[in-house]
Amino acid sequence: MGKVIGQRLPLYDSYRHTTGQTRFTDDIYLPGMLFVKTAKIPVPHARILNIDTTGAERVAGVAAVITHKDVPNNYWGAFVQDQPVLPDKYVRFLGQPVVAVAAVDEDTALEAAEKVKIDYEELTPVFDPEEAMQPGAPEVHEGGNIAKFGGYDAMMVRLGDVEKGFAESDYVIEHKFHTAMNEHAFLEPHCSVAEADANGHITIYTASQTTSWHQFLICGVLAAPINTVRIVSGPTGGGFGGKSNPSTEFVVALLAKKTGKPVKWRWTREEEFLISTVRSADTFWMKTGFKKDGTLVARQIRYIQDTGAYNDFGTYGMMKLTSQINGPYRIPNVWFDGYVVYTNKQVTGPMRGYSITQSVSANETQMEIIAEMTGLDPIEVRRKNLVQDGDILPTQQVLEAVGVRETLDAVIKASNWYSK
Amino acid sequence: MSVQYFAPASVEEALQLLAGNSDYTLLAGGTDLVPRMNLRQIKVLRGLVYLGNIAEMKGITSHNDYIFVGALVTHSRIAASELIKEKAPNVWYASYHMGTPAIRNAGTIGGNLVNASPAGDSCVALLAADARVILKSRHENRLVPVKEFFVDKGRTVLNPGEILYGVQLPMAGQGIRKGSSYQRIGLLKGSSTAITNVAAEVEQDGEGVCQACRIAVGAMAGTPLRLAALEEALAGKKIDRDLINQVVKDVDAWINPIDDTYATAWYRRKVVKVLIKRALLEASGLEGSEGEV
Amino acid sequence: MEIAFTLNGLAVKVDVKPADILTDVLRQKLGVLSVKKGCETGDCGACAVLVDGELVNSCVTLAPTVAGKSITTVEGLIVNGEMDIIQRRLAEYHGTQCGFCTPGMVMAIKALLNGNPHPDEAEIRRAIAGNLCRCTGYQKIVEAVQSITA
Repeated sequence: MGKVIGQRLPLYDSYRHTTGQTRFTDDIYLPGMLFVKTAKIPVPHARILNIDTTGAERVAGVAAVITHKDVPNNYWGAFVQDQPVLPDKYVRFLGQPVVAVAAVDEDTALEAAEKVKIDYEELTPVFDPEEAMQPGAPEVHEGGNIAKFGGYDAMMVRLGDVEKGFAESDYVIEHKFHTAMNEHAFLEPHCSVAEADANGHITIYTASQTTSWHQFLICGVLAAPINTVRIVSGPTGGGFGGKSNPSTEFVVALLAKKTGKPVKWRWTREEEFLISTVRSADTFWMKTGFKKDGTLVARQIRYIQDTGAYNDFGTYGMMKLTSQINGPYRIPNVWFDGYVVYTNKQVTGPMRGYSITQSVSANETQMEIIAEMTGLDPIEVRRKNLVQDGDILPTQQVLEAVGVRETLDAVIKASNWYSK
Repeated sequence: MSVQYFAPASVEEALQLLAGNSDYTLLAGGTDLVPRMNLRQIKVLRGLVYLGNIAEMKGITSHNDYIFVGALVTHSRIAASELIKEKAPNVWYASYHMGTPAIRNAGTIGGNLVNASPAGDSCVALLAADARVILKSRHENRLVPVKEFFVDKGRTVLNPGEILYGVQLPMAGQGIRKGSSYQRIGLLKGSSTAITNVAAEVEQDGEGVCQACRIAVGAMAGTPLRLAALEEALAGKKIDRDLINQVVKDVDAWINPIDDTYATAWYRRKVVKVLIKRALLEASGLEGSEGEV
Repeated sequence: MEIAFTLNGLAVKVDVKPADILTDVLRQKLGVLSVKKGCETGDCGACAVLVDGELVNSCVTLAPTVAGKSITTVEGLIVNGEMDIIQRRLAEYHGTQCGFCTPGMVMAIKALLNGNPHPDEAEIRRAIAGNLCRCTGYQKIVEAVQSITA
């Protein structure tokens, strides 16, 4: 071992963490800073009839109250611009903030938010994506609950001839899988601070996983040129995908601009569970054909991703998934239909691998079943089917520099697999 | 919200304060009250009476036929007490496995009782221990069996102006073999609220005949619950595996499990039978502890 | 109301409201920003401090109840410019990633080692059970503590 190579190096920021010197966004306190709380309604699906903010505005210590009317471009989205910063017509999930209040402290902001009057007509919600796909289901969005891929209902992937593949298989197995919604539960709740100057320039301090992406989306919502919005991305107290899109930033920017004062919005843990993005709950059917010797021949998948109330990274996640549906295994005949479906639940977003993680559990479950049915060692079944240089993924990419076999062999050796 | 704060140094002083202000809220470790304040679930709070300075409510003392545990004794103190571990193992187990180190350092046995959660860990242990609570008001002291203490979820027989002073743990008489077992299941090994918990105490003579037994379960009703029918079915009989299997079968009629975010009533109904069986096997000396699930 | 207590060895006096939680008083009035707000219900441990040597969650501790007591946070573990060994080893053994749980974690380990200088692995895990960490998987934290006590 050399002086550097092979040595353990502490992360450059770790001593600051252990001594408490790391400054997260919530550790920023600026003179005259205002704090945000929001008004919401107690149902997951409703048509907004009227919003009356006069009661909130009268509370001493309240600096500003904003609604959808205060947002220059209210609808935003990574791929589909379907999500309002503050809703104008519909509330689509429980706890969705409708009105934002900035006040001298959190208690005052909360008191004022409770005085906002929101008249609404409750609508029938739909929570199950399979139900949401049926004709006549309550509409989460006007025009249907199935997100579009270039005009089509499904993200479709075809490789080879799947019917011929099943016909050539010795065995065909099919299972329905369902995975649960997950909350990232990073320890640092969402928080951002914004300040605006007299030139109309805005600085936003936040814990973002995607600084430039934030800047791009925030400028869109604010209708502000990109050189007038500065994003300072501080330490991120855990993200895991959950801090990939803006959340609190639009509102603090708007309120800072309106009040001329620094504004902070920190979500409580309760808000994290209710309104932050989550990993999608997925439902899918996986049919796999294979030979007696364990060789995989064909696979057909119908995949439904519950994207919640808005698209967020939904269609993008589905596209990411398509290249990974077979994991590290070679299957020459593939038929995949993936649907992204709206429901009246909190928005789903990236979490450590989009829907890829969900599909891996199904993929590996079937590999275990195949090992049992063929009587082969579970590792041998996998080894036999590993992709290698020159193989084609269902999405047509030609693989090169594949190292999965060497990796698996190293694991076999390190774990003493064959002496277990 | 404007709140008055008091930190009396004695029980008398605290009772005096409550006499004129029975709507004041008592504060001990704060591990149940303060989260509710932070979540804005407490809409009216006029006065806080912090009991933490009252030394006489912090003691563990041994008497002829009972052990006194002050209401302000923390779970950490109970977990560290050799006396409680030896003489009241279920009460010790409940505190030892409750919450997390920081919660055990603050949370008190009295707080766990007064909070009256249907699955309160100490509540279930104290029920099976046949413990009594001492309730003090300005004009009287009441000694109430824990069995009669709980009214409903979050409600007890404690009157306005009354303070839960402490707990008496009765000790078994000479010549009686008392076995006990505490079983609990939670979502995590450490730190989680019990999905359900079972405490059992079985007193047997030299022949293994059951002289008395007490079975308490959590989350099976609005309050922690004693299963009297099962206790009666065991009383006077020689306890063996078959008898236990038989009485556990009958539990369905006597429980109405709660349904919440931790688990469904369906699951609780299934799992409680397993835990009762394990508890009875261990408490009657037929099997060793299987430990925390 | 004014309360007095000792904070990291210094006597402090501070004006608080009865329902103020200790976390807010430490952060907003005394500038102790290492104490984090992760849940406000006593579940995550990011706000953990020592009160008279015992680990407590400052988010479920009302400020007036610490009058007359002694409070220690990670800032107070640095003596004459030297970090505590826990602070060094957690960094060196990669027991910290995003850093948000770290100050509370350091205090939980401090409380453990104060009472038990040679804990086994089960005792270490039990001592940090109330300090949630979503990054490390805890293994590196346990190894960091073991490097101190072995």
